[in-house]
Amino acid sequence: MLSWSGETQQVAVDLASLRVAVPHAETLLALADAATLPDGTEGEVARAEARARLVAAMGPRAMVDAAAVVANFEMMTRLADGTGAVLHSPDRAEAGRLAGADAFTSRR
Amino acid sequence: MTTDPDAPLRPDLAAAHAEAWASLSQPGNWWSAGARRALAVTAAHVMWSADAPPPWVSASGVPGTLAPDALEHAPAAAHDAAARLARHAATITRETYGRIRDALGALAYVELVGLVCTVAATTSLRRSLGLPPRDPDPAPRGPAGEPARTDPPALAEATRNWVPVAAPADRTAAVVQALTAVPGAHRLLWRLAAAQYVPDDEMVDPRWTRGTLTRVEMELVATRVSQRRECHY
Repeated sequence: MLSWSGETQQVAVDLASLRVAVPHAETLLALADAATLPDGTEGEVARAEARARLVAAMGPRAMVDAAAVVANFEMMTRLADGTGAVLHSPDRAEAGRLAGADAFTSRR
Repeated sequence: MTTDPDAPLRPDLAAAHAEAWASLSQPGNWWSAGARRALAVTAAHVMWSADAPPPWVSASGVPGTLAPDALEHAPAAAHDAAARLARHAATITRETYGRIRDALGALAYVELVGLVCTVAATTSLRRSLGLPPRDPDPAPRGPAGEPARTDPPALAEATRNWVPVAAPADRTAAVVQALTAVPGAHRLLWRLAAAQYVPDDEMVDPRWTRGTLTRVEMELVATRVSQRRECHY
Protein backbone atom coordinates (compact mmCIF):
# COMPACT_ATOMS: atom_id res chain seq x y z
CA MET A 1 0.00 0.00 0.00
CA LEU A 2 2.94 2.34 0.66
CA SER A 3 4.47 1.78 -2.75
CA TRP A 4 1.04 2.07 -4.41
CA SER A 5 0.14 5.31 -2.63
CA GLY A 6 3.59 6.76 -3.30
CA GLU A 7 3.44 5.87 -6.97
CA THR A 8 -0.01 7.32 -7.47
CA GLN A 9 0.92 10.49 -5.59
CA GLN A 10 4.30 10.77 -7.31
CA VAL A 11 6.17 10.49 -4.01
CA ALA A 12 9.49 8.64 -4.09
CA VAL A 13 9.41 5.52 -1.91
CA ASP A 14 12.35 3.23 -1.19
CA LEU A 15 10.85 0.18 0.48
CA ALA A 16 14.18 -1.41 1.34
CA SER A 17 15.26 1.50 3.54
CA LEU A 18 11.76 2.86 4.20
CA ARG A 19 12.86 6.27 2.95
CA VAL A 20 9.91 8.27 1.72
CA ALA A 21 10.10 11.75 0.23
CA VAL A 22 7.64 13.49 2.53
CA PRO A 23 8.71 16.30 4.89
CA HIS A 24 8.05 14.63 8.24
CA ALA A 25 8.83 11.00 7.45
CA GLU A 26 11.42 10.60 10.19
CA THR A 27 9.11 12.16 12.76
CA LEU A 28 6.30 9.78 11.83
CA LEU A 29 8.65 6.79 11.96
CA ALA A 30 9.88 7.89 15.40
CA LEU A 31 6.32 7.74 16.73
CA ALA A 32 5.75 4.30 15.21
CA ASP A 33 9.01 3.02 16.71
CA ALA A 34 8.31 4.48 20.15
CA ALA A 35 4.74 3.23 20.19
CA THR A 36 5.83 -0.36 19.64
CA LEU A 37 8.35 -0.41 22.51
CA PRO A 38 7.37 -2.41 25.62
CA ASP A 39 6.59 -0.87 28.99
CA GLY A 40 9.41 0.89 30.76
CA THR A 41 11.09 4.22 31.07
CA GLU A 42 12.82 4.08 27.69
CA GLY A 43 9.55 3.61 25.85
CA GLU A 44 7.69 6.25 27.84
CA VAL A 45 10.41 8.83 27.18
CA ALA A 46 10.56 7.92 23.50
CA ARG A 47 6.79 8.21 23.12
CA ALA A 48 6.69 11.58 24.89
CA GLU A 49 9.47 12.92 22.68
CA ALA A 50 7.91 11.55 19.53
CA ARG A 51 4.52 13.07 20.40
CA ALA A 52 6.09 16.45 21.08
CA ARG A 53 8.04 16.37 17.81
CA LEU A 54 5.01 15.38 15.83
CA VAL A 55 2.77 18.01 17.41
CA ALA A 56 5.40 20.68 16.71
CA ALA A 57 5.84 19.54 13.12
CA MET A 58 2.31 18.64 12.05
CA GLY A 59 -0.08 19.66 14.83
CA PRO A 60 -2.02 17.76 17.52
CA ARG A 61 -4.67 16.38 15.17
CA ALA A 62 -2.04 14.83 12.93
CA MET A 63 -0.31 13.35 15.98
CA VAL A 64 -3.55 11.70 17.08
CA ASP A 65 -4.21 10.40 13.59
CA ALA A 66 -0.69 8.95 13.39
CA ALA A 67 -1.24 7.25 16.76
CA ALA A 68 -4.52 5.88 15.41
CA VAL A 69 -2.74 4.37 12.40
CA VAL A 70 -0.26 2.73 14.77
CA ALA A 71 -3.18 1.32 16.75
CA ASN A 72 -4.77 0.03 13.57
CA PHE A 73 -1.70 -1.91 12.53
CA GLU A 74 -1.10 -3.27 16.01
CA MET A 75 -4.59 -4.68 15.46
CA MET A 76 -4.25 -5.79 11.84
CA THR A 77 -0.90 -7.54 12.26
CA ARG A 78 -2.43 -9.76 14.96
CA LEU A 79 -5.50 -10.32 12.82
CA ALA A 80 -3.40 -11.43 9.85
CA ASP A 81 -1.00 -13.62 11.81
CA GLY A 82 -3.62 -15.05 14.14
CA THR A 83 -5.88 -16.19 11.30
CA GLY A 84 -3.14 -17.38 8.94
CA ALA A 85 -3.85 -14.72 6.35
CA VAL A 86 -2.13 -15.40 3.03
CA LEU A 87 -1.27 -12.76 0.46
CA HIS A 88 -2.95 -13.48 -2.85
CA SER A 89 -1.84 -10.34 -4.71
CA PRO A 90 1.44 -10.69 -6.66
CA ASP A 91 2.02 -6.92 -6.44
CA ARG A 92 1.76 -6.92 -2.67
CA ALA A 93 3.97 -9.99 -2.40
CA GLU A 94 6.65 -8.21 -4.43
CA ALA A 95 6.37 -5.10 -2.27
CA GLY A 96 6.76 -7.29 0.81
CA ARG A 97 9.90 -8.84 -0.67
CA LEU A 98 11.39 -5.40 -1.31
CA ALA A 99 10.61 -4.36 2.28
CA GLY A 100 12.42 -7.41 3.64
CA ALA A 101 9.27 -9.19 4.80
CA ASP A 102 10.21 -12.51 3.20
CA ALA A 103 12.62 -13.04 6.10
CA PHE A 104 9.84 -12.83 8.67
CA THR A 105 8.71 -15.95 10.52
CA SER A 106 5.14 -15.11 9.54
CA ARG A 107 5.79 -15.63 5.81
CA ARG A 108 3.28 -18.14 4.43
CA MET B 1 -11.64 7.38 26.19
CA THR B 2 -10.49 10.54 27.97
CA THR B 3 -9.70 13.35 25.59
CA ASP B 4 -6.59 15.37 26.33
CA PRO B 5 -7.05 18.97 25.15
CA ASP B 6 -3.60 18.75 23.57
CA ALA B 7 -4.53 15.57 21.75
CA PRO B 8 -8.11 15.96 20.56
CA LEU B 9 -9.75 12.72 19.48
CA ARG B 10 -12.09 12.79 16.52
CA PRO B 11 -15.63 11.91 17.63
CA ASP B 12 -15.75 8.84 15.37
CA LEU B 13 -12.44 7.59 16.77
CA ALA B 14 -13.52 8.18 20.36
CA ALA B 15 -16.85 6.42 19.76
CA ALA B 16 -15.28 3.39 18.05
CA HIS B 17 -12.79 3.00 20.87
CA ALA B 18 -15.46 3.40 23.54
CA GLU B 19 -17.50 0.61 21.96
CA ALA B 20 -14.43 -1.57 21.54
CA TRP B 21 -13.33 -1.02 25.13
CA ALA B 22 -16.78 -1.87 26.50
CA SER B 23 -16.84 -5.07 24.41
CA LEU B 24 -13.88 -6.47 26.34
CA SER B 25 -16.08 -7.10 29.38
CA GLN B 26 -19.32 -7.95 27.60
CA PRO B 27 -20.38 -11.48 26.63
CA GLY B 28 -19.44 -12.61 23.16
CA ASN B 29 -20.92 -15.38 21.10
CA TRP B 30 -18.55 -18.07 22.39
CA TRP B 31 -16.93 -16.59 25.51
CA SER B 32 -18.66 -15.29 28.63
CA ALA B 33 -18.20 -11.71 29.79
CA GLY B 34 -16.00 -12.88 32.64
CA ALA B 35 -13.84 -14.96 30.31
CA ARG B 36 -13.46 -12.13 27.80
CA ARG B 37 -12.47 -9.71 30.54
CA ALA B 38 -9.93 -12.14 32.04
CA LEU B 39 -8.44 -12.94 28.62
CA ALA B 40 -8.24 -9.23 27.77
CA VAL B 41 -6.32 -8.59 30.99
CA THR B 42 -3.87 -11.38 30.13
CA ALA B 43 -3.45 -10.11 26.57
CA ALA B 44 -2.87 -6.51 27.65
CA HIS B 45 -0.30 -7.52 30.23
CA VAL B 46 1.70 -9.82 27.98
CA MET B 47 1.40 -7.49 24.97
CA TRP B 48 3.33 -4.68 26.61
CA SER B 49 5.26 -6.23 29.49
CA ALA B 50 9.02 -5.70 29.50
CA ASP B 51 9.50 -9.30 30.67
CA ALA B 52 6.86 -11.23 28.75
CA PRO B 53 7.51 -14.96 28.31
CA PRO B 54 9.05 -16.00 24.98
CA PRO B 55 6.78 -17.70 22.42
CA TRP B 56 7.85 -21.22 23.35
CA VAL B 57 6.83 -20.79 27.02
CA SER B 58 3.19 -21.05 28.08
CA ALA B 59 2.18 -17.83 29.79
CA SER B 60 0.01 -19.73 32.27
CA GLY B 61 3.07 -21.55 33.55
CA VAL B 62 5.02 -18.41 34.42
CA PRO B 63 4.25 -17.14 37.93
CA GLY B 64 2.93 -13.61 37.98
CA THR B 65 1.94 -13.53 34.31
CA LEU B 66 -1.78 -14.21 34.80
CA ALA B 67 -4.03 -12.32 37.20
CA PRO B 68 -4.72 -14.32 40.40
CA ASP B 69 -8.30 -15.12 39.35
CA ALA B 70 -7.59 -15.61 35.63
CA LEU B 71 -8.13 -19.36 35.58
CA GLU B 72 -11.50 -19.04 37.33
CA HIS B 73 -12.88 -17.48 34.16
CA ALA B 74 -11.12 -19.16 31.22
CA PRO B 75 -8.93 -22.25 30.80
CA ALA B 76 -5.16 -22.08 30.74
CA ALA B 77 -5.12 -22.96 27.03
CA ALA B 78 -7.17 -19.83 26.28
CA HIS B 79 -4.88 -17.60 28.32
CA ASP B 80 -1.86 -19.14 26.61
CA ALA B 81 -3.41 -18.50 23.19
CA ALA B 82 -4.30 -14.93 24.14
CA ALA B 83 -0.73 -14.32 25.28
CA ARG B 84 0.74 -15.82 22.11
CA LEU B 85 -1.53 -13.70 19.91
CA ALA B 86 -0.80 -10.62 21.97
CA ARG B 87 2.98 -10.76 22.00
CA HIS B 88 4.19 -13.29 19.43
CA ALA B 89 1.51 -13.45 16.76
CA ALA B 90 4.08 -13.63 13.97
CA THR B 91 5.36 -16.94 15.36
CA ILE B 92 1.99 -18.70 15.09
CA THR B 93 2.14 -21.50 12.55
CA ARG B 94 -0.59 -23.66 11.07
CA GLU B 95 0.43 -26.35 13.55
CA THR B 96 0.15 -23.91 16.46
CA TYR B 97 -3.29 -22.90 15.22
CA GLY B 98 -4.32 -26.54 14.94
CA ARG B 99 -3.39 -27.26 18.56
CA ILE B 100 -5.26 -24.20 19.84
CA ARG B 101 -8.29 -24.98 17.68
CA ASP B 102 -8.40 -28.52 19.03
CA ALA B 103 -8.29 -27.18 22.60
CA LEU B 104 -10.73 -24.28 22.29
CA GLY B 105 -12.80 -24.84 19.14
CA ALA B 106 -12.36 -22.98 15.87
CA LEU B 107 -15.05 -20.35 16.43
CA ALA B 108 -14.00 -19.63 20.01
CA TYR B 109 -10.49 -19.13 18.65
CA VAL B 110 -11.71 -16.70 15.98
CA GLU B 111 -13.54 -14.69 18.66
CA LEU B 112 -10.35 -14.73 20.76
CA VAL B 113 -8.36 -13.31 17.85
CA GLY B 114 -10.90 -10.49 17.61
CA LEU B 115 -10.63 -9.87 21.34
CA VAL B 116 -6.83 -9.64 21.25
CA CYS B 117 -7.04 -7.35 18.21
CA THR B 118 -9.35 -5.08 20.20
CA VAL B 119 -6.93 -5.06 23.13
CA ALA B 120 -4.09 -4.20 20.73
CA ALA B 121 -5.94 -1.25 19.20
CA THR B 122 -7.31 0.23 22.41
CA THR B 123 -4.19 -0.12 24.53
CA SER B 124 -1.88 1.01 21.74
CA LEU B 125 -3.78 4.25 21.22
CA ARG B 126 -3.77 5.05 24.94
CA ARG B 127 -0.03 4.41 25.22
CA SER B 128 0.78 6.44 22.12
CA LEU B 129 -1.21 9.38 23.47
CA GLY B 130 0.40 9.16 26.91
CA LEU B 131 -2.81 8.15 28.67
CA PRO B 132 -2.51 5.86 31.72
CA PRO B 133 -3.42 2.17 31.43
CA ARG B 134 -6.85 1.15 32.64
CA ASP B 135 -8.55 -2.12 33.49
CA PRO B 136 -11.58 -3.32 31.54
CA ASP B 137 -14.94 -2.55 33.09
CA PRO B 138 -16.41 -5.12 35.51
CA ALA B 139 -18.07 -8.01 33.70
CA PRO B 140 -21.73 -8.79 34.32
CA ARG B 141 -22.33 -11.99 36.29
CA GLY B 142 -25.02 -14.63 35.90
CA PRO B 143 -27.18 -14.95 32.80
CA ALA B 144 -26.32 -11.43 31.62
CA GLY B 145 -22.71 -12.49 31.24
CA GLU B 146 -23.29 -15.74 29.38
CA PRO B 147 -22.22 -16.09 25.73
CA ALA B 148 -24.99 -15.82 23.13
CA ARG B 149 -24.07 -19.06 21.31
CA THR B 150 -26.14 -18.09 18.30
CA ASP B 151 -25.67 -20.24 15.24
CA PRO B 152 -22.80 -19.06 13.05
CA PRO B 153 -23.34 -18.11 9.41
CA ALA B 154 -22.83 -20.83 6.82
CA LEU B 155 -19.11 -21.55 7.00
CA ALA B 156 -16.49 -22.55 4.47
CA GLU B 157 -12.88 -23.61 4.54
CA ALA B 158 -10.68 -20.88 3.09
CA THR B 159 -7.43 -21.04 1.17
CA ARG B 160 -6.48 -17.51 2.20
CA ASN B 161 -6.82 -18.15 5.96
CA TRP B 162 -6.38 -21.09 8.33
CA VAL B 163 -9.57 -20.28 10.18
CA PRO B 164 -13.06 -21.05 8.84
CA VAL B 165 -14.86 -18.08 7.31
CA ALA B 166 -18.41 -17.23 6.28
CA ALA B 167 -19.30 -18.77 2.92
CA PRO B 168 -18.41 -18.16 0.19
CA ALA B 169 -14.71 -18.15 1.02
CA ASP B 170 -11.90 -16.33 -0.75
CA ARG B 171 -14.01 -13.69 -2.49
CA THR B 172 -12.27 -10.92 -0.53
CA ALA B 173 -8.82 -10.30 0.92
CA ALA B 174 -7.72 -12.62 3.71
CA VAL B 175 -7.92 -9.99 6.44
CA VAL B 176 -11.39 -8.92 5.30
CA GLN B 177 -12.83 -12.43 5.59
CA ALA B 178 -10.74 -13.42 8.64
CA LEU B 179 -13.37 -12.87 11.37
CA THR B 180 -16.54 -13.37 9.35
CA ALA B 181 -17.30 -16.64 11.14
CA VAL B 182 -18.01 -14.51 14.24
CA PRO B 183 -20.02 -11.58 12.86
CA GLY B 184 -19.93 -9.49 16.04
CA ALA B 185 -16.14 -9.57 16.16
CA HIS B 186 -15.95 -8.82 12.43
CA ARG B 187 -18.19 -5.75 12.69
CA LEU B 188 -16.35 -4.34 15.70
CA LEU B 189 -12.92 -4.70 14.11
CA TRP B 190 -13.92 -3.02 10.88
CA ARG B 191 -15.57 -0.13 12.72
CA LEU B 192 -12.23 0.40 14.48
CA ALA B 193 -10.33 0.16 11.20
CA ALA B 194 -12.52 2.78 9.55
CA ALA B 195 -11.94 5.24 12.39
CA GLN B 196 -8.24 4.52 12.86
CA TYR B 197 -7.13 4.19 9.27
CA VAL B 198 -9.26 4.57 6.16
CA PRO B 199 -13.03 4.05 5.75
CA ASP B 200 -13.72 1.07 3.51
CA ASP B 201 -15.35 3.18 0.79
CA GLU B 202 -12.23 5.33 0.52
CA MET B 203 -9.67 2.53 0.52
CA VAL B 204 -9.05 2.67 -3.23
CA ASP B 205 -8.50 6.43 -3.33
CA PRO B 206 -4.80 7.27 -2.80
CA ARG B 207 -5.67 10.96 -2.44
CA TRP B 208 -8.14 10.45 0.41
CA THR B 209 -7.24 12.29 3.62
CA ARG B 210 -8.82 13.57 6.82
CA GLY B 211 -6.90 16.81 6.34
CA THR B 212 -4.09 15.73 8.65
CA LEU B 213 -1.99 12.89 7.22
CA THR B 214 -1.72 12.12 3.53
CA ARG B 215 -2.28 8.53 2.45
CA VAL B 216 1.46 8.14 1.87
CA GLU B 217 2.15 9.29 5.44
CA MET B 218 -0.45 6.86 6.78
CA GLU B 219 1.04 3.98 4.79
CA LEU B 220 4.53 4.88 6.00
CA VAL B 221 3.43 4.50 9.63
CA ALA B 222 1.50 1.33 8.78
CA THR B 223 4.51 -0.23 7.08
CA ARG B 224 6.81 0.53 10.00
CA VAL B 225 4.46 -1.03 12.55
CA SER B 226 4.06 -4.10 10.33
CA GLN B 227 7.84 -4.40 10.07
CA ARG B 228 8.26 -4.05 13.84
CA ARG B 229 5.75 -6.85 14.35
CA GLU B 230 7.37 -8.94 11.60
CA CYS B 231 4.04 -9.36 9.86
CA HIS B 232 4.54 -10.71 6.35
CA TYR B 233 0.98 -9.99 5.28
